Parts: sequence; structure tokens; C-alpha cells
Amino acid sequence: MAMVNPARVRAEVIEATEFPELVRRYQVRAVPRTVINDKIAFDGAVPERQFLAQVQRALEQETEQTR
Amino acid sequence: MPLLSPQDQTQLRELFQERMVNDVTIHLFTQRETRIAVPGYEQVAQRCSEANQIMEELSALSDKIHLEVYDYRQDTEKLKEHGIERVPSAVLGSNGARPARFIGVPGGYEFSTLIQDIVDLSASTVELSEETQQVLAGLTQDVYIQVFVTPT
Repeated sequence: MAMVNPARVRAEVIEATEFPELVRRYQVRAVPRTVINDKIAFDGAVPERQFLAQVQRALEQETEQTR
Repeated sequence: MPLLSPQDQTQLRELFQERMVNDVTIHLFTQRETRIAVPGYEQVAQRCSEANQIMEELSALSDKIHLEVYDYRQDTEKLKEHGIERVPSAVLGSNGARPARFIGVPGGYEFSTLIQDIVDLSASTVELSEETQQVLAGLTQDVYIQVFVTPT
């Protein structure tokens, strides 16, 4: 996703066991756990369409908050 | 002792040779080797040294893979530029874009992801549907995706 629009999308893979403070902050109990814009989090590998829907949800929440 | 076995090296060299198109730069943020032990940072130092070794071995396998190493205490401007807060961290870049980063040592499953990312980035391979790509191309807000993984 980041490759399609690198100006807008940044993708990060984080090795959870090395950073316990991030595990606590994002409540990582299972991997993979995905966090989008610090707003939406979900567990497991999800299909592309569902992943995209989560990205859109995170962006909608952000828009609502800035209103 | 190398982390990659001779067989791994041969396989990876062939893979890079076959699949890589554009050059890829790995910007590695780490702690340079030091003889001074900083209390509380021994583990970080070891992870940094492991990440250094993985990246050095990888970049030696292809002319198209370039490695730039930055020290987290000395190269603070670079850290700021890339928004790096933790070490070791590796930012992958190609053709002026830097879309992917790895925070922590890319070992175990993460190593395969790293290899895949290097190859895909180099060959601009995107497996997403047209629809997804259109949505992404039309984004007007920034998206920051964090994926937490473990090596096993």
C-alpha cells in the first residue's frame, strides 16, 4: 500500500518483543496486530478489501475529530 | 561467523539477480560498534549489531542493494529527517520513495518479509487490486500503518 502512494502512506513492521512499551501502548496480545493512524487496531491477517475498509474507517474518524 | 549460510547466500544472490530492477537503499539506524558498554543498553547494542550484520550481508549479495548506516547518537539530523525514534530501524528506499520500514531486528519470519519487500520495491511489484490502488492513489490524508510481528 505504501508503494502505491509513498507520499501519503507509511508502512512499518515492528518486532514486538523488542519494544514492550509499544506492546503496552497498542495492547498487542497476538500477532500480527495492525494499527492505523493510532486510531484503529485489528488482529490477524485480513483480506485486502477489509484492510482497506479499516484504513478508510481510520481516516473518517480523523476527519470527524477535526470538525 | 556469517548469519546467512552459504546456501542462503547463493539462493538470495540468484533471487536478487533475477528479480531486482531498480536499486534499493537500506538506511539503517543503529548504534555503531563501540567498546564502551552503556549500562541498560547492552541488549539494544546486541540487536543493533545483529541488524548491522544482516544488512551488511544482504547488501553484499547484490550491486543493486546499497547500505547507508547512521548512528543514533551522532546522526541526529538523519534520525529526525526519517522520523526514527528507535534502534535498530531500517528504512527501505527506491526511486526517491521510502515506503517501508522495519523497527527491530528483521529475523525469523520478518527476514522473509524484508527480502520480499526489497525485491518488490526494486521491481515495483504491486499485487493489490485496481480498486484498492485507485483509493490509495486518491488519498488526501496521511496513512500510517504499523504491523506488530514476532520472529516466530
